[in-house]
Amino acid sequence: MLYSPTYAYTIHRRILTALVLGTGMNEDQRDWEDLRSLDPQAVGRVHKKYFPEIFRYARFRVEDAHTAEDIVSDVFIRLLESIAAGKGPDRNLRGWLHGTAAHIISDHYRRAYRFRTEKLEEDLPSQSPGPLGIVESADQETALHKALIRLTQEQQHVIALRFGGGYSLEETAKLMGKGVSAVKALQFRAMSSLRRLMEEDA
Amino acid sequence: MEKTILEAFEESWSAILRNEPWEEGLSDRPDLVEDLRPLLRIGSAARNDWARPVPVGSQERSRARLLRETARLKPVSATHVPRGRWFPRMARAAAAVLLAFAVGGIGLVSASARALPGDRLYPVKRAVEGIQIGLAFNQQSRLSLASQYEHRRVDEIKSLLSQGRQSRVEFEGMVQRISGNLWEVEGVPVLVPATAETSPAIGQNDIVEIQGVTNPGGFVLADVARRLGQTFQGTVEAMGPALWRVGSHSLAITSTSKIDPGISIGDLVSVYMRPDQGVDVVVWIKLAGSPRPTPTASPTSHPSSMPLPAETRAEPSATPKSQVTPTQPNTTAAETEFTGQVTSQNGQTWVVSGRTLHLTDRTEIDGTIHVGDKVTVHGLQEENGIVLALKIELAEEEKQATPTPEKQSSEETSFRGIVQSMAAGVWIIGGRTIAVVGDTEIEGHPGVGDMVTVEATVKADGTLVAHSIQMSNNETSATKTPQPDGED
Repeated sequence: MLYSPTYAYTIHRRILTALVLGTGMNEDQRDWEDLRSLDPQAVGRVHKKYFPEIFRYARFRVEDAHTAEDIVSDVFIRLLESIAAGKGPDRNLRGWLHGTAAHIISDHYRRAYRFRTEKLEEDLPSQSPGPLGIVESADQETALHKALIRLTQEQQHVIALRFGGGYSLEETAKLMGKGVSAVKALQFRAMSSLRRLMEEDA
Repeated sequence: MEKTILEAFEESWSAILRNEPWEEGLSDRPDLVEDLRPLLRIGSAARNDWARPVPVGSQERSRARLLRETARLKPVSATHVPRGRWFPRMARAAAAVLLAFAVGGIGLVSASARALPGDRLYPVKRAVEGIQIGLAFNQQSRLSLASQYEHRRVDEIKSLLSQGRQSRVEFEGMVQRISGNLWEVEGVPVLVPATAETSPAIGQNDIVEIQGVTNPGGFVLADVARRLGQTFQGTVEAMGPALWRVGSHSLAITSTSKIDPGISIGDLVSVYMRPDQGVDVVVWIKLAGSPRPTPTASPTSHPSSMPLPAETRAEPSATPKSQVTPTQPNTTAAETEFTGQVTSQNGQTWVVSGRTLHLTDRTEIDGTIHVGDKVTVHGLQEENGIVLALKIELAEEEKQATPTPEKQSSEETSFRGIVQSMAAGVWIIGGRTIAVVGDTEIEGHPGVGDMVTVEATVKADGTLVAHSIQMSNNETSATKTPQPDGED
């Protein structure tokens, strides 16, 4: 990465803030501070940092990589628009990005169901051998996604974060704005439903 | 108190993430094993699905879209800060330095100068560099320092490699050679596996950003290789205040573009450009040292691709000396012969006693050579330190040793772990780097995320060479081999 005056300034500001505040800001807050300026370099840096994670989240939920790319772009554009309007996440930028991605994906599915509900079943192959006898990873992914999209939005969200993203219970609870016990129960219900749906499809 | 199924599930999932057998944790609730097994398999499937690489180009397209949106929301973009606005920033930077010295002391700052990526003081070093750039008096000084620090990044990585340390690194530089999935970027061997996120059609002379992990085998195992720009030579066809045309390329000139004085239409120049929001922006333009264009720029041992100030650039008379031809050994390469131990074999690149060898189709290999063998190498040493191997043979003492020299200094080991990466010849399993050679027996079709059992030889230098890699029973039944016993 080439240094630039803006980057150097950002580092000075972080050090100064960290020294003055003692414990300093957390990483999310620093990213958020950088974004407030709407400086292209800061925007590019935050995009670079979070894109892979939010993209994987979106692709896990919608399966199609092109749709996931559009969704992630929308997430970041909404972030900029929020900032330009003087709003946006006052803390937990990562949680804000995940939450916004989840909302956009919900809208995406609502539109999809409205316009082509009768085609969803036909589009997906049905010869998958089921969750306990999956041979090919492609079949496995298809079976998983076919069942996943029939869970509630909240259940999809928790499975994506916990098992896809590898977040701990505590991190997932923070991202979802819930308690740890609630997340634990929610994910178990989601996994049980997923298993039942995959076995039904097998 | 008996654990609930929710607690049992959490414990089992944590065990899987730690590469430990999860059933052992359920000795007090064996009745839950069969209930949890399918759920844990679904969790593993979700994890594998998530881990698929991000498609090439996806991030760049999204970024370009976002930056266009940024420009719309903030019409007066502040990529380049006007000089007049630097004063308050300098004042704040100076305050930060004073505070850093007051709190951490000069010792902290000076001690950080030797820090390498992964060291505790490394962030301090980077922060100090940022401050020094911020305090530079003018744009040229800032760019000079930035260039100097980019060289430092490359030197840090070379130090990590020579020390055999594993650390996450990120650097930029020019691609000097591509041989299969092994690249040479600024003199650093970089292994780019198929799973890495790469820009399409990266070629020689492209400026790339590499993100990855230094490997004790003497290379950087990349997970991201992204094209940032490219260098080329061409004739200046038109020169405007904001736009030049060089060799049929339209190039945008910005306030940070470094351009040799005295260039005029018809001159042969070397250009380093980087695309930005759909426009090719000039980083630097230099008068080419040679009157005849060559297909390469001037990859010296340090990144000449960086925006060096005029006074630090190589004199034209020195330029031809540092030029190399893309696919042939450097004409200044010197013959060399040395004996050492093979510590890594990755396709066309081997490491022998810390020295990187590049093998070609014409390299003569005498006998079967494995990691750990002592060999004598005959070759041509290029200016960047890489040896183009002409002949590699077992060292005399190795030939005269017992028929099974490997066994003398080796011990066997066996362990289970999750496959984390599968580069050619080098896999990472459960956090350990394993050499996968031609003799390695691989049972099933393990992929990233699968639990496998490894049997390997530990060489005297600690290198692991796999004899066999097989899917672990649970994993095999879970994802690869259908089990008709009907666990449901």
